[in-house]
Amino acid sequence: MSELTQRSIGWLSAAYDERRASPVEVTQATLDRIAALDGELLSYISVLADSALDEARRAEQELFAGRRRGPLDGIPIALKDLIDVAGVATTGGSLHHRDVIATADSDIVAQLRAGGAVIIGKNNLYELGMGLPMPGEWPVPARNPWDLERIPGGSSSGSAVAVLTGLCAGSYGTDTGGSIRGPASYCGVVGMKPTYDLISRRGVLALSWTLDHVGPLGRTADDVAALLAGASGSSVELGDSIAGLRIGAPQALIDSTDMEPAIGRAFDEATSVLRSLGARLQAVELPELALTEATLLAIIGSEGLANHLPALADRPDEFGVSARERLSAGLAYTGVDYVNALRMRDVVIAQLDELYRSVDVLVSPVVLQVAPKKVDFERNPPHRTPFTGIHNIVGGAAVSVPAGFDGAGMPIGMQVAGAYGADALVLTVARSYEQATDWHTRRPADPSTRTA
Amino acid sequence: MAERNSSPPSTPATPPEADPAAITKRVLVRAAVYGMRTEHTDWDKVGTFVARSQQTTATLAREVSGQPLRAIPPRATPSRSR
Repeated sequence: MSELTQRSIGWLSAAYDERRASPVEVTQATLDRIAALDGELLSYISVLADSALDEARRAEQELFAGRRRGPLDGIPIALKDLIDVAGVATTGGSLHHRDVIATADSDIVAQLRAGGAVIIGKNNLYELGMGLPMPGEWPVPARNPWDLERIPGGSSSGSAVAVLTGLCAGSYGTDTGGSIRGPASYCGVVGMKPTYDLISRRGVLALSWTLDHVGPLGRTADDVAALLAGASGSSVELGDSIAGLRIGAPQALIDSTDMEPAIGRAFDEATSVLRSLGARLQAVELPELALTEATLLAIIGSEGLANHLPALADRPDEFGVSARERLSAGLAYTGVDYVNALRMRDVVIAQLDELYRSVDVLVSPVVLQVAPKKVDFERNPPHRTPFTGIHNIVGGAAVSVPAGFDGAGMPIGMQVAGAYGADALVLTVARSYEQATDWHTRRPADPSTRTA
Repeated sequence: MAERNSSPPSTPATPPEADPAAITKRVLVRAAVYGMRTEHTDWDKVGTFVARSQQTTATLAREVSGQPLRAIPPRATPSRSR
């Protein structure tokens, strides 16, 4: 394995500037690694080898001439296959969209191209960002690199897998209720849902227009900061310390859930680390979970069905069983339900605005369990997102950072969430935590090198 | 009667149990309204899937009934106020 595929974005950028490495070399190493491993990991739906090498050559010319176009110049980047790249199918992980070629770049791809990023491929996902993979359906789902019999989470599953295993330097997913942060937690990478629309959604296949967020997944908080800056065009400057920071933990909510004990232990240890860094932890109360869940479900159900109804009505056989059932469930909501959900959204936003007067960020677990075995998942899929969905409702920044492993060696994440526009702050907390721990540095053995 | 600013919740504290069979029937009526082909979908499973969230939808209606009527509609997107 070329070490280049494990390097951070910061390391690669410095190496390009000093000509210790070249974009073509790094892109080729990444493509070689995809060819070697992705037959087992299934993290890509399409690999854009030829165009990626063309883009790498162009980046090399520019960089070696002393012209840096952005923080991702020459960096091999992947995209969840909901994001349009001109001339390439945006499958959405759905038979219905499998052969639909995008006629134009999405805003994010245009922004990445302007900054010199190398678009290396489109990542596997759960159908349309919400359907659960079922046996025998297309696409065959990605596998968790820590244990190939387990799922990597979704819906940005391929993104998390590719980032963890060095099949790209970073990827962009989408998150409507936790679809970036969940896979990040299950796989042991950093995954961020930025502030609403900080990264443009134009040209990204929608599930729920008002809850969808486009966001980066990377191997470190610094990488994610670079990915966020590169895709949003905005500066993302992280702080050096979290001493004195007021951190709230929704302890009553945490205690009320039936999370696996290892998740709770990892979270307790993580908060101890934050305290040791000078942060001031306090228990806080979040809006009632039943209300935030109902708000999320009513909005996703209504907007998701409105979005996909024409295709679902005419060609239901081109949707997977789970996506078909979940989208059809939107029929149950009335206009009154949707408006009431929007009203409740206002209430939740106001409550969190108030909460963020007394704390700077919130921390919590990300999910209730480690990545389940595929057979268990198909029998009884986890369906609750008690810690992540509220931040989609509110639109504030939220990131999952690796925070431990359970007894079976599966990763566990911690969520750091903040107010609208607190993107640099939540990443500062994530980076400070990383600097005090080594969870983010751990990597699984490559599938091909494992013993039976 | 429409709500008033200070009106207390008037619905029961615990919403009635959602009935999957009734939901399935209602959902199928709406599917017909939208001209959806129905032969590929297990509608009983859809009804069961919806049942739990319907309970909470009733809770939503109860909770917002205490909210004042507003001169502006609710936000359809998150706040940019901060």
